[in-house]
This record gives sequence, structure tokens and C-alpha cells, in this order.
Amino acid sequence: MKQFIFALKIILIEQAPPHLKSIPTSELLYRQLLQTLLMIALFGLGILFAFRFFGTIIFSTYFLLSWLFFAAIIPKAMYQHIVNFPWDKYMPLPISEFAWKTAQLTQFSLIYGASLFAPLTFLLIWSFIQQSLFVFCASMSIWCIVILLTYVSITYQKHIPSQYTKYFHLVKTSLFWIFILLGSYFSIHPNSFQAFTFLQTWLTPDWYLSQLTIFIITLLLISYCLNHWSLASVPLNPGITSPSFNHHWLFQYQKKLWKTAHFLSQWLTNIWLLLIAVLLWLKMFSFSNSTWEFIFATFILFLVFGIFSPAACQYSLMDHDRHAFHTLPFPWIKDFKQKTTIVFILTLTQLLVFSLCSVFILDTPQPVIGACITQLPLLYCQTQFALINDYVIPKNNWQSVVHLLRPTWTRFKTIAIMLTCMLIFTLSIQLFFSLFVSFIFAVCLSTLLWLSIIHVKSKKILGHLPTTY
Amino acid sequence: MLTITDLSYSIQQTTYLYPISLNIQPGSIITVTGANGAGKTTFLELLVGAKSCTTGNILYNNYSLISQSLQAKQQFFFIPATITSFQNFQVNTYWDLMAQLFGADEAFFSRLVSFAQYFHLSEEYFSKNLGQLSLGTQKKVYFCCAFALQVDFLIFDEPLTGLDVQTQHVFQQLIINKTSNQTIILSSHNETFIQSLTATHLHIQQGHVFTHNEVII
Repeated sequence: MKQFIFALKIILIEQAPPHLKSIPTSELLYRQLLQTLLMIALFGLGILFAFRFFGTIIFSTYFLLSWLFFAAIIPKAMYQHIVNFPWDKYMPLPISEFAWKTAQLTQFSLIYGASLFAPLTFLLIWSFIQQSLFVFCASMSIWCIVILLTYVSITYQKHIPSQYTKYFHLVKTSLFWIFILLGSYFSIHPNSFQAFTFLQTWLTPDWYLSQLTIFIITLLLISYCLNHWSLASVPLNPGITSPSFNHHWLFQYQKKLWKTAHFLSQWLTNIWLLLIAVLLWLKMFSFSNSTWEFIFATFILFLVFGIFSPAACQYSLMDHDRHAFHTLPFPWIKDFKQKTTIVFILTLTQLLVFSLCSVFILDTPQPVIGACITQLPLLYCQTQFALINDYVIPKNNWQSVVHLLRPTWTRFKTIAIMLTCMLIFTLSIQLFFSLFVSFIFAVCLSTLLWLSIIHVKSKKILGHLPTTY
Repeated sequence: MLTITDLSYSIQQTTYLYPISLNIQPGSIITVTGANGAGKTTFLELLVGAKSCTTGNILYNNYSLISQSLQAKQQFFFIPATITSFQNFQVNTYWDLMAQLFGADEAFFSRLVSFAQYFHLSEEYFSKNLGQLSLGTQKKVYFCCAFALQVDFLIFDEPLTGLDVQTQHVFQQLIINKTSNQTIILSSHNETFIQSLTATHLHIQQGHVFTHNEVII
């Protein structure tokens, strides 16, 4: 225990986040602990608030986000964070290896407290609400196995002869992802756990469509698995810090992989939207009493899927990807900001029209939210893609973790804003009972949000756009 | 005596240091020269255990450095060419930590103050974080610690980088007037500095170590 505390103190100071670097050592420890506790408290409050006021929709959206975040970031960040400690090999540390690694893991948990414990907190609350010990135990064990595997692999990998490292990474990563896939599958599959059967009612109007979602997520996770393996098999120190890394075949392979995954995901999302459109159209067809109503419905669907859907897909690409930007269907507009604004307006219109169709024709906003959920893998895929295109070799571990987190956070923030806009709109329809007032209300709020994004983008993101593609 | 036996380093099919066997006498000065990428840093990092060697062994007073023995490690102080570690530590805290890790005696802190004066390291720096200091000043902090600890082996990778002329001179004098039982191993590109030392010169070329134009095997 004494060794563990000694180690933890050293590591907490050594790995302090950038904004705490100029603070004296004595204050640093308290501030870091306080910040972590605050994050966990805010997270807990947020989750309770979401459940109390928005019910299962936001709650389960959050759960999916957590899983994606967990699957995407944590093992990789943990790996990079813990393995690369430059001096612990030659300093005479009077600490056992167990205490040292446990301290590193604890420090990692403190820094990523909220993210790391997100699925855990969710499961705790959820199993409490559902009074299902089975859900808790099953998901918890999957979660623990992933963490344990990471820990074991980090501790023992130095004993593996260098010629077998590649196979070690392959086995390790495969194991990670088998469990993560299992976790995702059990979390999403409507028939696996009774506690999650509500997904069947909101995620899709039809059970097969939920299978499609599972398929998309699975596909992305497999892609990620391959991607993770390819990155992991590059020797971290000599490889990643060398400029020749950019020309490494694995790096090139990742580019191709994510390009393919992105392409598949985009088309699967389109298919998803198309299926919902067909359902809507069939429903409208069965209820329409006149030819005019039928023509009107077809026109709306044409607008939604003929013009706005590609725009919606492209919207997610705007942040980092110039290639996607050039493929937007407005070649006469050269200015990036103008183009971005137009795409946003089109996306918003699509969502509004789609929401209208849902609320007035299907009597529920759920399909819209379902459609947006399928955008999440697309965004995630894009993040990885952009990450590879825009890859900047980080100077140290902390920077590399921040580098990994930042684009993902931007994407999730974007989708969160889109979801919020939609929810505000559908809720305001129910609140005001007036289409006009609701529309004005939603547009004002969305514009406000959009202006805030543009402000941030013009200051931060636009400056980091890749210059070549 | 430090006994290096059949020490080599490879990653997959590439060899960065070919097998070398060497005896280093206590109290000697060893200089390591070579072009960029020749393998100087690799050699020094293998000596201190920052890198795990592919083959071979290093023995010091019957303790194996390869098995990462604590007693052996406490007799080696290594200063890398690029300082990236302990950046969030205040200078005072860093020195405290080193004193704990290396089991320093009671006179350590008084020696530290003397060396700080010798290196013109003002007291105002003591409460600052290492990351806030310039490379040269960071090196002064490290040097003070290295000399004050009085360990058996001091290993410096390109120690003159980032130092002003005056500090270079101070460092040179400290090396020349070192205690008799202390062994110093350093790498440098500065020929004048190397020539000024009464030392055993090692030259590394594409992973092969030479002395007096003869390759060491």
C-alpha cells in the first residue's frame, strides 16, 4: 500500500493534464482529485436528470454513445498512456511492478473517470431501475474482462520476444474486441436482455431494422479492431515518432480501411433512411383519401431522400475532410464557410421535415431518433478517417490521448446538437400545438446553436483542416 | 568493474547495435562518438536499462543490470539528450524524489546547493516546475543532482546540447576534476570537448563499436 501511494503520487504529478502544468506540485494533486470527483458527480447528476426528464430515449442514446466511446477510445488511450513511460525502466524505483502498474491504472481511471465509469454507472442505475441483477452481472463482467485484459497485456507484453509481438497484439486485440462486440451485441439486441426490450419500440418500427443497426455497429467495430491491430503492431517508440511512419504500409492500409468502412456506413445509413421512407410512404398511401394527398406525401419524401439525405450524410464530414467537402453538390460555391452553412440549413430542413412526417403521420418521433442513431457510427467512422488523414505525431503521451479524444468529442457534440434540435422541435409541437410557433421556436434555437458552432469552428477547427488530401 | 558481455540490440530484422563485449574500469572516463543514427544513444540506453537488450549481459559488482536489480540501478545516473520526464515536478520536489530513489545521504542537499551555485542556478528556480525552465536550465538542475548524488556511474547523452559557453566550461571542469572512483560515460559531437578529456574513446559506426580503429567484438 505504501509503495502504491508513493507510485501514485509520482504518476499523478508526472502525467498531469496540460492545463494543470503550471500549478505547483503541492496543489496539483488536490486539484486533480477534485476535478475527477466533480466530473463523476456531474456525470451522475446528468444521467439521473436525463432519465427523470427525458425517459428512456435520451437514456439509451447516452448508453450507445458510452459504448461507442468506450469501444473507440479507452483501450487505445489506456495502452498508449500506460506503456510509454520513458524513465521507469532505468530509475531505481523501490516499488514492485504490481504496485507501479496498479498506480498507473488508478491514475488513468482518475483522469478518465467519467468516461471510464460511464458504462459502469449506467449499468448500476439501470439494473437498479430494472431490478435486474442479471443485466448488471453480465454486462459488468464483460466490462471488467476488457479492463483486465488491457491490464494483463500491458504488464506482460515486455516479456514477449520482439519477433512474436505482432501475434501478441493480434491475439490481445482480437480478445478485446470479441468481448466488446459481445457487450455491444448484448446491450443492443432486443431479445438478449429483457431490460432492453424498450429498444424494440423506439429504435425501429420493425425488428429487422434493429438488426441492421446491429450490423452497422458490428461492422464498424470489426473495422476498428483491424485498425487497432494495425496501429498496435507498429512499434510505438521507433515507429510513431519517425516521419517515415506516414509512409508505413500499415498507415496506408488504415487509410484504405477507413475509407471503405466510411463508404459502407454511409450507404447503410442511406438504406436505413430509405427503409423508413418506404414505411412512411406505405402508411401515407394507406391513409390518403385523395390523389393530392398522395402527391404531396411523395413530394415530401422526394425532398427528404432525394436532396436532403446526401446533404445530411455530408454534414458529418465537414469538420476535417476536404475531400468530402469538394464532393458536395454545390460546385459554384467556393467559400468553405458558405458551403458549410448551406449544408447545415439543408440538414436542418431535412430533419424538420422528417420530424413533421414522423409526428403527424406515424404519431411518434422515434423513427427520426432511430435514424439519427445510425448516423453515429458514420460519425465515428469519419472521426477515425479524419484522424488518420489529419494525423499529427504527438509529442508525448498526454498529447496523444488528447489528440485521440478531440475529434471524437467534436463529432459527438455535433450529433448531440442535432439530436437536441430535433427533440426541441418535436417537443415544442406537443407543447404549443401550433406548427408555425414550433417551427419558429426550433429554427431560432437551432440557429443559435449553429452560430456557436460556426464561432468555434472558425476559430479552432478551420485552422486545423488538412492542407492536402 | 562494469562487465559488458555480448551486448546487442535488434528490432525484428534490423540490428542497431552489433554484439559488443567490454570491461569498464572504475574511475575511468569513456567518450562515445559517432554520426547521427550510428547507435550512440542506443548504446547508452542499453547500459542503463532504458532499452532491453536482445542478447548479452551487464554485470556490476555481481549485480546484473539486465535483471533490473535495484542495488545496481542506484549506482547509475543517466541524463538523456532530450529531457521529457518530470516536467511537472518543481525543482525542489524533483531533487527530493531523486534523493529518495537513490538513497542519498544527509549531505546530499548541502552538496546540491554548492553545485547550484557552481552552475549559477539561482534559488528562484527551485520552486518552479521543470517544464517551465529552458533546456539549458533543466540540464543544470539534472547536473546538480547527478554530481551531488555521488553515484558510481554518471552517464550523459550529449550533455553539452542547450548549454551556454560558460556552463559548458563548468561542466567540463567538473568532469575533469571528478572523484577518483566515479566512472563517467558520455556521448558528444563536440570534438574539442572530447579531446580535452583523458578518456577511452569509443566510436560507433552503423552499430559497430570501434576503439583505436579496431572493432570491439
